Amino acid sequence: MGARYYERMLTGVTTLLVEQGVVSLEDVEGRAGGRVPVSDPVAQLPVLQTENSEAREARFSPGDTVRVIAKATPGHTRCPAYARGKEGVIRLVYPLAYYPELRAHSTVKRREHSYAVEFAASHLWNDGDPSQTVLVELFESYLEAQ
Amino acid sequence: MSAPHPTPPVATPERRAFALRDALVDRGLVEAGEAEALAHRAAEELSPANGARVVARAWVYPDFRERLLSNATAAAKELGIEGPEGRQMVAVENTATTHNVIVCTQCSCTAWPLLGLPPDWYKAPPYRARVVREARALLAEMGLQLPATTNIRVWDTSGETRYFVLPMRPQGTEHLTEEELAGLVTRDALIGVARI
Repeated sequence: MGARYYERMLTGVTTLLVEQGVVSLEDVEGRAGGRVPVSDPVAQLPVLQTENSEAREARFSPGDTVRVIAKATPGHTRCPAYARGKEGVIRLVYPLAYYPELRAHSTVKRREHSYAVEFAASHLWNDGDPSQTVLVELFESYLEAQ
Repeated sequence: MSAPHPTPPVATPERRAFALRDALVDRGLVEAGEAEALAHRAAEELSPANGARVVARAWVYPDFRERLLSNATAAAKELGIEGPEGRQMVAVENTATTHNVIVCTQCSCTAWPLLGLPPDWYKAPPYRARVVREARALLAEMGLQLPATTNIRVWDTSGETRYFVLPMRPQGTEHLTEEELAGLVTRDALIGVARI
């Protein structure tokens, strides 16, 4: 955690390329003239639904109230922890985009809609400012109808 | 008994990055010069001066402002502004009652073509953690005192969309040209941590 921002990205990219066999660690270390740290494996790989259907209509519309699924999943996600289990309102509907969990941990590319969902800061945090809201971009799989 | 082999020291990040690049170039996965070209492009072409041009145009031409608010990606392209991290850009407009501010709580995503690469403070955990939690107090610490009556909307760049703020045109600038107006627009104002 002492690593700087781009150093962490470098370690992540190196780990991915070594794990996937694109380059060998020995090769990179030889070229670098020293040790090249890589990340530990993810403790538990996420179980992913690999169904490949897409190109559906957006399930939600602006003004809809939704709840973010509370369950945290291992591995990569673009669902911030602070929004989990919280209720918000759909403001913007975005085009289909690759679902990040599948893209990070499998070769399956499945797209779905994402949304700008607005949350009251006073709902997200106990001491939240009543005049502040937070708009989070969330994928459809993160959301349940309310 | 011989001593165990000493562990060699960790190579510097720079050496590790060049080693990885060279390994990928040797395997034909990255073209020689590609990384350098990207770095050059980042320094020369991805700049908040582009965002300033877009904002000034929106202040001067109401029809451009409408197009910017309905499809910022297409509107920026009218001025020849596009590029990496700019496939889906959205303008969020400040008004007399609402102030917008941009963050990426999970990493540092920004609209590169309009804002340039993000500044260090934007990538640092304190900004990312605090702006969603206590925007008003944090903005005040950064020098932006918002009236108590102003609502704050914090946009978390947690997906594909890249936001930028369309600030309010300052009063008393009616006599300025579009170019002069662009000169007033700062990167901080495009992120929403400053006003103009």
